[in-house]
Amino acid sequence: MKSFISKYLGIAILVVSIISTVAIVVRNHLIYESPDVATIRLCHWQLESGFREALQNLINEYEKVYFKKYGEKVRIVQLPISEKGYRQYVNTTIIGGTAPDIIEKAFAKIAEEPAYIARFFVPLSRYVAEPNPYNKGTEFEGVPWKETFFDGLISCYNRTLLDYYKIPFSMFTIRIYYNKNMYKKITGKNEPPKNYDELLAVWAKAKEYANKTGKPIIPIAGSKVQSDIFGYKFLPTFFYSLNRKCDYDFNGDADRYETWRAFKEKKWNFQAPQLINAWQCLSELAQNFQEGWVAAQRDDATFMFIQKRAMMIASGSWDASSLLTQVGDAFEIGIFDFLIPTDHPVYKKYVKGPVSEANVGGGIPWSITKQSKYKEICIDFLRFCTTKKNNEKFNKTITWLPIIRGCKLSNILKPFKPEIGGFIGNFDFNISQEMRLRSQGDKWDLFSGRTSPEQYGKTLQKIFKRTGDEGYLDILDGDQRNQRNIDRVLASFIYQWDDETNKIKKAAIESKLIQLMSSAQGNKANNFERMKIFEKYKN
Amino acid sequence: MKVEKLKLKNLKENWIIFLMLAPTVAGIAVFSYVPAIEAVRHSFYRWDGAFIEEFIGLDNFRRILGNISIWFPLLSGGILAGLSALIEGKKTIIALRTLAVIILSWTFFLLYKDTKLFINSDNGSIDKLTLTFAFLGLAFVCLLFSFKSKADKIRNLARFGLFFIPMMAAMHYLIYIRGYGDHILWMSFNLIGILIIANLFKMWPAIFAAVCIHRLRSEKWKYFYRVLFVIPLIIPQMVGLLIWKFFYDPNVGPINKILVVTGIDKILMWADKWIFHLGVFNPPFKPAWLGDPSLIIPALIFWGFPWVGVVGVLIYLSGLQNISNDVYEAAEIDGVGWWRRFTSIEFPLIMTQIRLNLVLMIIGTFQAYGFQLILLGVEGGPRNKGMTPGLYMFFQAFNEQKYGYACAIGLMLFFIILILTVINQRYVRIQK
Repeated sequence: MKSFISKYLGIAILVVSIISTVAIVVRNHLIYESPDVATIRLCHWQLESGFREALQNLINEYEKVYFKKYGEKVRIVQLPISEKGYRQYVNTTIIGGTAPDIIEKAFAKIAEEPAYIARFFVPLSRYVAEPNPYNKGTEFEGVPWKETFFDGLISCYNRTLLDYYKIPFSMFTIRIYYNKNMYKKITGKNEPPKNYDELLAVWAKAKEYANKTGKPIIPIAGSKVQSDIFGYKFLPTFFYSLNRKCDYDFNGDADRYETWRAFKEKKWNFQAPQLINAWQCLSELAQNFQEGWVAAQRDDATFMFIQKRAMMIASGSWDASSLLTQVGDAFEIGIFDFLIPTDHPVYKKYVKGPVSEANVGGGIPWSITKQSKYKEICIDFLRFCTTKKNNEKFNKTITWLPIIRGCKLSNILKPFKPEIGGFIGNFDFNISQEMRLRSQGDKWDLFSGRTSPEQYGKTLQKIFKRTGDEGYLDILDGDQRNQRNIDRVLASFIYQWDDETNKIKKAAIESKLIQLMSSAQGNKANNFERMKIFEKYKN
Repeated sequence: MKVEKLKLKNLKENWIIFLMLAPTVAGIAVFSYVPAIEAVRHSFYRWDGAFIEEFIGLDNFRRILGNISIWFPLLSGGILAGLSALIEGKKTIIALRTLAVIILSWTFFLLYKDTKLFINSDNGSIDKLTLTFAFLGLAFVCLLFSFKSKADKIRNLARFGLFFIPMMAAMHYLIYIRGYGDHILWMSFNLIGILIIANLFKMWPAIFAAVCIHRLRSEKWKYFYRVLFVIPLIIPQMVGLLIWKFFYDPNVGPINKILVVTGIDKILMWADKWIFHLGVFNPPFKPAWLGDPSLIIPALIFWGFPWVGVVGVLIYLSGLQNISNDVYEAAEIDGVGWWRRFTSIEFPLIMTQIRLNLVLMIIGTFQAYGFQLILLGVEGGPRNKGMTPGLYMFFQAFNEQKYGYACAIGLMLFFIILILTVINQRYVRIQK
């Protein structure tokens, strides 16, 4: 008997494993792929505390509402993917034709570039121009769906494709969180610092306190994400004057091809005082992060703050819920806005003023893939989630900022309310992939204080000169690709299959263009430009 | 019993064998060869993985290598020279070497023209060519030894160097001085070179561990250690990575703490201050192993300490178990000591396993990207110091949506690994 067991135990384990695996696959198939149930898969990378539960609450409610409304079953399955693997997941599933029905758009070029968006995602103009049926009986009854969003869905409008491709659930702004108890102990004050110099002084005090007491306390928790957050807040205001010089198309952004042209025309170089001082300022700030912050992840920085090892942390409204829950009663959390060095003796010369949050876009943007069998249900689900009531409930559960107009904010989120006044000044010089890689790789060295801003500028200038032309050609190529896709979109509107004659039928261009551009024509401010395009295609 | 050869002619009699083999062959074909062939095809395409698939000939390789009109004769000359060292037959060797000499001479003429252009240019400086000339000087020394040396081994080595060193000189010139091709990709090969050399040293602890287990007298203890080395196989590699990430943490990681407790921190700080001048070890001693560009490569080398890889140990053990007891008995009668037993019996007799591990190590090092991606990010950490060709391939495919270019990098890696494997097979001799 003993020899029998030892002889066949391995095979028995193998057989049991295979049978149980097959059983699980069959069971899942029966549940999710049952012919009488429409199964919708939805993928996202939001692993923050409470997000999945909040979304699941909406899903459960929607499944009931849908059954009540149509007498049919629908099942929505969440597929949470880790941030590190999300880009690859989206890429491979879209290319492989197995993409989920609804995708949270993030990271992947395939979900961001117009050529791919046009090919793989459902355009939503038609739907967002109609009222949301779930708003019946509310203040938004009869109001176009897009108008119920905080920004009129302008952040979801793709200017290249002239269409809407995503529906957001929340919006995000970034601030500095601080441990009020520790702050008071170190500075003796309750109020947060009021200007840049005061902030640096507070951090210096924290360092002094740590040295004196021997406690492992650092002024502000850091990681690559945190240093990028400072970059989002500080760089635009330093770069504003450069942005004005290089914005050839007057769209408010100095895009990489514009900065490349301006560089060729010697309008700026990498030793420009605006760049040098901006990098110097960020390096100065990052010196207050913990040792080795470059190797730390976002979660490591959060833990440092929660475990009372850091007095502050720079993060977004997306972390409010996680921080509040995890800190509990251990200490009180305060929040204040970033302090731009407008009155700093050196930096004030280059700093225009605070950075405006008027262009804060919708967060958690969902797009429907063309591969979906249930596009109408997906749209219905997104409409259900973006009623005032449901959006408020969803965002309240996870303590995020709601995107629908008139939703109430939790008290803790009040400091996150977008600040409209200020300046916007994007200045992108990452013309080539080598620039993207090297500016990123060398940035950590700069912020850690191992490279001077001048040296960083020198390195970048060398690469910019060497790879700029090639990068520009790449952009031109991409643009051509996008244009081809826009033309395809237009062509598919004008030339359609006629079932009666079994031939391609050419529709009247004018009527088709009116249909295509109806939403843009509604906007009087844009009418002139739109009509010029319209005339061009009509002829 | 006579063993009958399996042929398609006798399919009728042996159909059952072919039938049993079919699923495996089909599986390998579908999941290994078809993707590989597709990757080779796509390396000649501009392919975004989705819908753009345009034949662009050698453009991807041109981007990797730069001036292909110099690279092509250089590589083909090198391959012919390499082949001449690998095959038998005097006439064929002479033919191959003559052809290689002609092609390489032509290459060096092209390089000479290019150098003249370079020195006359604004950025050109003769100083930058010092190393190239040093390589050429070394090649000249090889030339002298290849004729004059009486020792066979030195003469052969010099002949091999005669082809290899000028190629290195040309590659150094093209990549690092002229800046041809994809700069970041070439830079990533520096790290691979360092890691391969380091891995050659890191192989030894596994060999010694296997020998120690093999020499245990008690069968029970032998079994216990074998099991001990199998258990880590079931732990996901990701867990190992995260543990090492924790070890390297500058604030709470045990490595810095051990260095402080043992006083090594003081030695490191002294050496940094007075000898190396890197400025990485300063008081208070909290070096950021994965955050400082000067420490990333040492951290990657130190990773996995004490480097007793479980697979390696098990492979060496299997080799050691095949050594007959008679050999040990004979050695004992001859009064052979414990060290001599290792150098004269065990080490030569596990060369098959060492060769296998060498091949696996070279392939693994060239293909490595997961460790760097998890710990340093897709850009390979500060100053891209942790960038490897595998990680760069990943970056091109998933970040830049340039799958065709990533395939071209993959194809190039394939050839480099193939050449190194062939050299390994040829020069790591097995003496039974």
